[in-house]
Amino acid sequence: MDEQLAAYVSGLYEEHYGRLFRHLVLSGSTAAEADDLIQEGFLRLFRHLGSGRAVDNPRWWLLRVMHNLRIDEIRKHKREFALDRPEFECLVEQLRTEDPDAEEQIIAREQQARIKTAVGKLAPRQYQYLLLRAEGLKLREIAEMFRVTVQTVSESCAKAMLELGRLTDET
Amino acid sequence: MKRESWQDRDGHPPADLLLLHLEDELEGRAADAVRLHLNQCAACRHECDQLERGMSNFMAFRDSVVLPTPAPRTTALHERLLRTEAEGSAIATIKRIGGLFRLNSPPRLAFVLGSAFLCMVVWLWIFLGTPRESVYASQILDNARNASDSLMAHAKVLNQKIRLRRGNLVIERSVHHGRQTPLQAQESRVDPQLQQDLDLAHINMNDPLNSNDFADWRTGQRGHIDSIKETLLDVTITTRVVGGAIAAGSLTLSRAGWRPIARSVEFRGEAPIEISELGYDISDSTSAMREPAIGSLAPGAAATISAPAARAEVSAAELEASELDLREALHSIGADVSAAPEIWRSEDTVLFRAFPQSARQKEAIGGAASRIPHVKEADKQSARLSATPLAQVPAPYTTAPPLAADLESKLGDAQAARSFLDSLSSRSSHVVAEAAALDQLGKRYTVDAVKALPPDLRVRVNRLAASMLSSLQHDSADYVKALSPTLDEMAHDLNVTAPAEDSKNLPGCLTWQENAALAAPQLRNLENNVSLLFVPTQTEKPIVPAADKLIADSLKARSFLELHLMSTCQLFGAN
Repeated sequence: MDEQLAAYVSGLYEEHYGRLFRHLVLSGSTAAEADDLIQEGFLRLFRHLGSGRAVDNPRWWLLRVMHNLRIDEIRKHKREFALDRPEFECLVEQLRTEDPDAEEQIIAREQQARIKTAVGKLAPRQYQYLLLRAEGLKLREIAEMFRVTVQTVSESCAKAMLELGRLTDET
Repeated sequence: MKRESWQDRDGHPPADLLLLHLEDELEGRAADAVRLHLNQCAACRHECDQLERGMSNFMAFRDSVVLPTPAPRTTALHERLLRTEAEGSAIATIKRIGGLFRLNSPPRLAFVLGSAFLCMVVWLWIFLGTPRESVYASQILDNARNASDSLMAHAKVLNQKIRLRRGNLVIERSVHHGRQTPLQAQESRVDPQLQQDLDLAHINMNDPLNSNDFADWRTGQRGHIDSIKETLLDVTITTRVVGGAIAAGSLTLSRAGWRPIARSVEFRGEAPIEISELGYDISDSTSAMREPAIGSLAPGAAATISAPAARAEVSAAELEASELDLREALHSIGADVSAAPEIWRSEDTVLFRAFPQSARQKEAIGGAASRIPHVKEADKQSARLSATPLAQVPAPYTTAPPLAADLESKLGDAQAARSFLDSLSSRSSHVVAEAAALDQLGKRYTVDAVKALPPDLRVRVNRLAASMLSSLQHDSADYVKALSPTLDEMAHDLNVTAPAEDSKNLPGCLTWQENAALAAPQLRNLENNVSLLFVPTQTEKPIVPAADKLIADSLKARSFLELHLMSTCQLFGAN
């Protein structure tokens, strides 16, 4: 381990922080927990690389480590709800528009509200799978992370995606 | 993935197989069969479209969620990584030494124990001593970087007359640090050996006192040790390096505005390089470069910010920007919480008054404010400050804390209970101050006031609020985490459950202004309740604290904080 490695890991931290923070908070962590998890995750990456082992895809590796850390934390504090999705009613969304009264924007807002309601009705696991899928993880990788079969993940995701897809069905 | 029986009862592949096909994760006969089926079946192709639309709808939802993201704490992580490295090396050394000796021989055992003790001393020195200085050095360099960024953000240029000395060689020149400045105007024509040594020390002759260059050099040194020397006027960071051509490097920063005023490099086997500021001047980057009067200013003297061209009057927009500059500057040095500043405006000036905790903080506040146009520190007799401190009259009654004895018995003894309460008290007073500062900001920038701001200022207000809120959330979580085990245990013993959640009546998501206004009193209540439960408290009226009620109120306050303040739900105005 050397200073160069510390600088490399710090650089990765700066590069990935925003996206990881966002992912963790959307997964149900508080801002403070997300910040701590990210620090701990990068510390582990530093130790992992420092011991001579390689990491092909740091972001996927970090997501997996942070997922495990979260599970440990949840078990330690017996906070089962933490794996649950965040309270969607509380999340704030906004359309980035200069003209909120335009007809198109009103339609978009209504559609967005419908999607929000549907996402709010997803099962916690479905929501977590979709979040990771949205991060670019393969179904196989998600299954590995949750220690379930690929079929479980694909069934769960397909059901959720069909429900969400029907909301904007053009036919 | 291999799937043999792929058809469902209707002869179509199930949706999960279609998804695996879309994701290119299907293998074997099933993959071919699904592909063939899709060529013939419009219904399944439609289902595939629906799956894709579903994912795209989910991603649109995810991207529409607005979350305040705090800045990454890169410096803290970097220091932590280096500490881990030092710790790891020390442990590995102990293990190696342990493996070389057999512990059944008394002299060898003594040797091993002695070595272990020595390692422990070195480890403690590295782990406890150096990082503290190192972290402080990083903080100082961060301050310098912020000051430099702030200067550039205001389109100011720091013009310095500097002197470089190495042995008999003396070079004097003007250098300019700031945006839109012709930095390359003076081509460096120095001795190749000197140039090589300057490069080694990350010194650019066009801006040789640049604190960022020093920070880069310091970060690049393996196993460096920092020490810090402070005087009333300046701070010097000295970084000693093990091995290599450079033995040590130092940077001196003026406390007034964190301006770099000197730098030196000690070489092994060569004469040192010393660079010092002879005079300086701050001008607008757009104005013509002015030559600072050499020697007209002693190093460390107060800043002479060149006054902007005489203007008939200051516009409201300029004042608004200056006020926000001041708030951001105070926040960047932590003075928005610890120095409880009051900020208001006269017709053409932003006035402020702060209550610094130390001489160093006073200097930092003065330095930060001095760089902002139209900002002035109010005198102590300012009419705005109507509140003359009242004479402190001791309250006549003292409460009997109902759970003080329980706490002592749970934690072991009175000393443990005292240290627990001290730790809680310092945490709670900090979060109460943070909440008060955010509440003040919310009162100044109400939802309507934010809406009325120009877009760029609106974004800055939201960013400032998000940053303050993020610190408050982090520290509140820390406070609640420290308090909760004891609070829950006491609640369990007294059979007290959390009262029904009133805050359910609140809207699901609060604006940051509403959240701050509600969180501040909840945090104060929690602090008061904890105090009444465990510590004798002076009161105006005779009070007999009821443990169950105080615990119930505390649980309620905690629920509120967890549900609203610490939730990811924070509403910010449109950017």
